[in-house]
Amino acid sequence: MIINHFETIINQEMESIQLNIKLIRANIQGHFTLNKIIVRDARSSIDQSKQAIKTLSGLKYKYEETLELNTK
Amino acid sequence: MKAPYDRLKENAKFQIELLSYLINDASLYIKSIDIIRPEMFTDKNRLIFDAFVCLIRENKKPDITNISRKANITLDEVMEIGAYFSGASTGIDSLLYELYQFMACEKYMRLAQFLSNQVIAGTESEIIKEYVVKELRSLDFGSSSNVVTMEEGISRVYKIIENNRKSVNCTGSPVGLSVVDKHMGGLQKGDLIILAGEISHAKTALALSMMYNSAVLFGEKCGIISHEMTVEQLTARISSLCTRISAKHILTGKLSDDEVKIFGSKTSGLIKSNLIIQDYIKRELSDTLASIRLMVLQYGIRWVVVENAGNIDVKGIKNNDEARTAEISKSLKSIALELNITVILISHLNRDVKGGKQKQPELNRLKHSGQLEADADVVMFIYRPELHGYETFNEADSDDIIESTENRCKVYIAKGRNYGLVKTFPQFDPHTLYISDHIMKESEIFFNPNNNFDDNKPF
Repeated sequence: MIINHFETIINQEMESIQLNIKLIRANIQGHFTLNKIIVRDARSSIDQSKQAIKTLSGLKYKYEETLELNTK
Repeated sequence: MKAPYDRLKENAKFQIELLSYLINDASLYIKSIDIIRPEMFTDKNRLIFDAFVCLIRENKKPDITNISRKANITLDEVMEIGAYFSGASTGIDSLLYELYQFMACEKYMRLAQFLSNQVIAGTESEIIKEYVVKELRSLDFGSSSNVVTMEEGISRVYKIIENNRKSVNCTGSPVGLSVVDKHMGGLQKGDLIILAGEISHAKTALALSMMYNSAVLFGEKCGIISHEMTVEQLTARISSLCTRISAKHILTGKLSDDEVKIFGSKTSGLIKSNLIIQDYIKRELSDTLASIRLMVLQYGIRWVVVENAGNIDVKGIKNNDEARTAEISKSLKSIALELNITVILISHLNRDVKGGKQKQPELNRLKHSGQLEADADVVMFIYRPELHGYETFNEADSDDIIESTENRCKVYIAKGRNYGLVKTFPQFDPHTLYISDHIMKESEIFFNPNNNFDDNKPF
């Protein structure tokens, strides 16, 4: 159950990364111009999401290991 | 100055973008399994793709954490690929097209190199031809593009004959229904069977009874994709067959302590069986086909029930039921042949426009018929004359038996490619909706040790 929750949050973080990347790319390619602060926010949001995914996947791994040990 | 076009670099971009699509939506892989090839990916991308496929086969979720662990690649790198977006493609189809073109170009160049090397070395032309043809055929979509000579065809038929001689009666998958087991020798691979009947004439009950017998009593692997019922409803109906408690009572009534005990003890066989139910999917033909592929890939099912033809939509075909039904039957027949399984498609009937008591349905009443009838190997009807006020079977059809119609139904084959026509009158239990007339003994189905045939030497 808890592993499923981790997976959902990881997927949401991935979506957030993709969205921010699209935003930055559109700005670079000149489709539209964004305020510098928004771009900076998007970049830091990507970094935060990456960190969150790392932490969450570490936790998920631990839970899976414990689950495997318990079932054995 | 604009940078020159780099084919390899561009291809690497496409590879990563395709992987990104797959990681974020694994169902895309099953939908395009015919086109996606491992050869499309190189280096690290190939490792990630292999890990992705491996996880799907093991029935594990192919997310970034599992992929990074399986492929032995750092989470950062997989994350980078998962979040990649080049903006160069408009969708997975254009990506696949580009990658396929690149893969084909590479193959042609390798073949040209191979040809010049072999010609210089003086290799026999037959050997070169064989290799080139094999390589070119690998570029075709699907696995059904092989040409077989008569020698190979006859040897395959011999194999079937020898295997059939080992089993006494049933050469395909047994289902506990004499019309299938005795007459057709079980469900045969590659067949599309249309199961049709009027509303509330127990079409689904017949399909579920067949599944229960096949999976629980004979240990076969089978699956069902229903666009009408939930997993709970289907499971309750199947479990009512073994517990003898009606599905309605299981789902809506209050079960007594004794009934709960019976439910617990009688469903143990069902739990261990290989009966697979598809959870909710979109009512799209492509999703249905993807689900069948996944069932075969992960669970190795031998036959599948699809319920029902009227509920499946086909992309690009609207307001034309005939074209839609034709597309469904064509696709299901081709997937049955490609995956070597049996597909049973449940279909409704058109209303009988004639007045008076309704007669038993015929082929012309198949809903949006034509192609459906032509593609099917077997068209099987189920008919319950008691619902139309007939007391004996011969009242409905003068050729039928003079027996009471109470709690009985008529199952008959109206089209039987390779099997001919036949009719039976099995029992129908209105309490559990169980239909059965013939349960084969184990000795009738499985290998008889007294017959000593060698599999490897058919001649």
